[in-house]
Amino acid sequence: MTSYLLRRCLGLLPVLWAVATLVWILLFALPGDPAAMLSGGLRSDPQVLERVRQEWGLNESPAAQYLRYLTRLASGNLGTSYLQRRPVSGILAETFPATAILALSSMLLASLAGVALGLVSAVWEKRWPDDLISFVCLGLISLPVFWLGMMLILLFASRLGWLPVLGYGMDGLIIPATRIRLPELNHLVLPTLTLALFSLGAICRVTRASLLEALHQRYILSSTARGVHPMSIHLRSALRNALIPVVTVLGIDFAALLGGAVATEFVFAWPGLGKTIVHGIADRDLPVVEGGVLCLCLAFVLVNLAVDLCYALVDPRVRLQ
Amino acid sequence: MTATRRALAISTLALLLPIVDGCSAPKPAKPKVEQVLRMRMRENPPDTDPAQSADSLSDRINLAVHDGLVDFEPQSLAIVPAVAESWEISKDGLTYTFRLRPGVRFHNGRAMTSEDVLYSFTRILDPKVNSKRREILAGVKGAEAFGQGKATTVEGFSAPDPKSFVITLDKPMPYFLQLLATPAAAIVPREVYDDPQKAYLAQPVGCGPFKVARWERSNFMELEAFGDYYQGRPKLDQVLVRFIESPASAMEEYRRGGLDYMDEMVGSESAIARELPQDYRKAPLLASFYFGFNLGRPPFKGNTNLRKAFNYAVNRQALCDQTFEGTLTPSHGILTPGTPGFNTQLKGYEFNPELAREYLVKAGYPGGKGLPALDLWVNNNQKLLEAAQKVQADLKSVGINVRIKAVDFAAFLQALQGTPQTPGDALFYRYGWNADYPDPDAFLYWLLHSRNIGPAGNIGRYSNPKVDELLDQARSMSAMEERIPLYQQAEQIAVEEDAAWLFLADYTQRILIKPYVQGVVLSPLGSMRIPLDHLSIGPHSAAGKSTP
Repeated sequence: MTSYLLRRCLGLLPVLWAVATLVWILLFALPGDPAAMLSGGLRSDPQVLERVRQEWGLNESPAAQYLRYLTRLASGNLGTSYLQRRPVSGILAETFPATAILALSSMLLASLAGVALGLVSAVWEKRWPDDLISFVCLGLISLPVFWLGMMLILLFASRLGWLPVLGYGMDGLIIPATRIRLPELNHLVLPTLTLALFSLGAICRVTRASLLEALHQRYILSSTARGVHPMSIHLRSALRNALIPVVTVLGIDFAALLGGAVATEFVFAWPGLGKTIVHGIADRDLPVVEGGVLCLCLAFVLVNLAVDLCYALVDPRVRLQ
Repeated sequence: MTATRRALAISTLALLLPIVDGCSAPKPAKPKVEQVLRMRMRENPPDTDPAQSADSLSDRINLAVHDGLVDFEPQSLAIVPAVAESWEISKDGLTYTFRLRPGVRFHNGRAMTSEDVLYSFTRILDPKVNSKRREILAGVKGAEAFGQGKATTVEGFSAPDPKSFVITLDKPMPYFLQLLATPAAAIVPREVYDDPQKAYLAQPVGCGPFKVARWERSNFMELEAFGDYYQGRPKLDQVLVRFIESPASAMEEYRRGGLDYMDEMVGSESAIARELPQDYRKAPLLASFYFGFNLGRPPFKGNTNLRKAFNYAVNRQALCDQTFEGTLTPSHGILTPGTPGFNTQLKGYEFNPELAREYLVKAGYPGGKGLPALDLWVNNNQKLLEAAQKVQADLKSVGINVRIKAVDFAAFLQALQGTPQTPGDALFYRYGWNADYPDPDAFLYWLLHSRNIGPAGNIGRYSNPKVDELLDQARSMSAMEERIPLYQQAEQIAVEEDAAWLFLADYTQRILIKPYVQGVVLSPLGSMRIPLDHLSIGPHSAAGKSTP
């Protein structure tokens, strides 16, 4: 187990290097001059422009810039934001928790509801609850997130007035020993619901398919014949055996939520990392984009590692080697 | 099977229970705190260092936190005392002696002296600070030598006693006081702004009416009334700036009552004005909207007739009425109404496709033949794209083919700017200009003088020695009534003789502000000049309020 973990962690390094290089090349190829963006936009003093280029090394050759970038990353330094003039690590520490909290809460909601609905669908296979759930799931998968978010705002905030329209709240709890402030719970509901509804469809469909396969196995028939309680059959025997594909989907969805919640962050004015990266791209604040993407990449790989570890927990037959 | 279903229903419910629990009813909205203005800002202010304040968001925050020697009266734009209680200008217009007001304190409690003015102004010219707004003090004696490292102090600044500050200029600058009223000319305390770690970026300290109490980036900024403000404590206890990117979401928040003020609208503005007639306010703005020609490259280089053909081909009235729903007004020249020297006699170009075709013939492209398809560069923005499409259609009708090239702002900027020596790639592009100070110079000098060719402002690379001469002459005179004819003459040459660009429209500003917010004055310099320290919250029905 330890050697497995060690190998997986070592395998991370080439992945991070490849991502770092790819991001750098893409940003370098992007038209637009960061120095011009930093010197006053449409009206900038040529002297100021030149000094900004020197200050950030933007006048060096591409090879020199890339080398400096890699050396900096190798020493664990994500650099300084051009625009905010403070360390990128600080910006990530501020914005990543908001994104992670939202991804976690929506994943929790989506997995519980998705598995539950998948279970109902499978048990009532080809009956009206199954048809209804399938129809709803298909709809949810197809809806664009920003539209769904806006509709939820219009219904629950504007029309019914039950929930706040947007924002993170000002008075959430601060996690002790960190500077991370949790969102106020009522502010968390709508963005969570939006993302969860979006992910729920896939989870529900996979659970249903996987469960149906499990329910047709002989051990289910044997359990039924032995008079085991149906609830026990479904929840303990069938569901457990059906979980591997579900866990895979959950892992992929969670990792995607970490990086892909941008639209939801925009609609709900959520101070997360996705929005920060998009701003970084628009402002050509390259260190923020590079740091943000690396952070997401790391999170993605770690979530996948966690999923692999989960396989062993869910199914004792899986051995990590 | 019935037992199975019941059991399943129970188990499903059990699984769903935590979800339902998680969505428990929201806490009841807190009662609204008195005298709190909640305003929306698109994003964080990019730079809270006043020396780098070069966009409306940064200006908004910097104007609330900092004060300079003088200020604009928001509506008339007359120069009024701020930190300086009075000033004298020598007869030759070169020496300005300011007398500082007693009792001015910074947010950290320290009393301000003329040493602080000396520090703040020297800082703007310091090459290490590399201020984007260096030009406001570039006319001070010795500024250039200091900027090049040839002197350790700026010769033109002196602080003879703690309450006096003297500025000596190289040449008279009739609009110098106006430059000192821009957000960049703020007085800041040395002990805070000398910090190499730049902690002041997160926690700015000034002597303005509000201090930054709390700032959670991308979430909110709390500005708290400064009790020791030298002009008296503001009526508002707090200004809560909420960072909301999506205008559609912000609009819902405004409707719901979570915002008192916002300066960007989404969707049809006429519909919003009908829906919220008491909240919708519109006022002129010293800003113009036009499409620029790159005069450094063919086909526009040296071809005045082609430029005139473009100008006659476009229906400005229809553009303003249809595309912009009347929120822009057609323009005949460069200066906007409200700018001193605005010339009502300037004819400009009417919509006349016949004349456009004639000028196309004169330009050597009869019926548009031989003219290569031009890219019209626009930065991604729905309204600008619609405007580009309208102009594209008008030009097409006289035979000029234009392709719209929509890119993000950074790519747009790069294509336009070029360097002082080399023209940018964009030949035809959307452009606009906001005046920082209410003087014809704020438009004409920056946009037309050949000294500013390239990123400094004259992106179109317009160059006419006669216009240069007129502008230089007008810059060095002090009496406005003598300067205005020179500026008008320069404008007339650039518009009617040279057709320097495709003149289109003048901007207006529109905001939504709750009727219970009292003391709102819209300044022609922009909504960031709404004087927050004069606002107060009047009585209103406390309908559903929410915090961010």
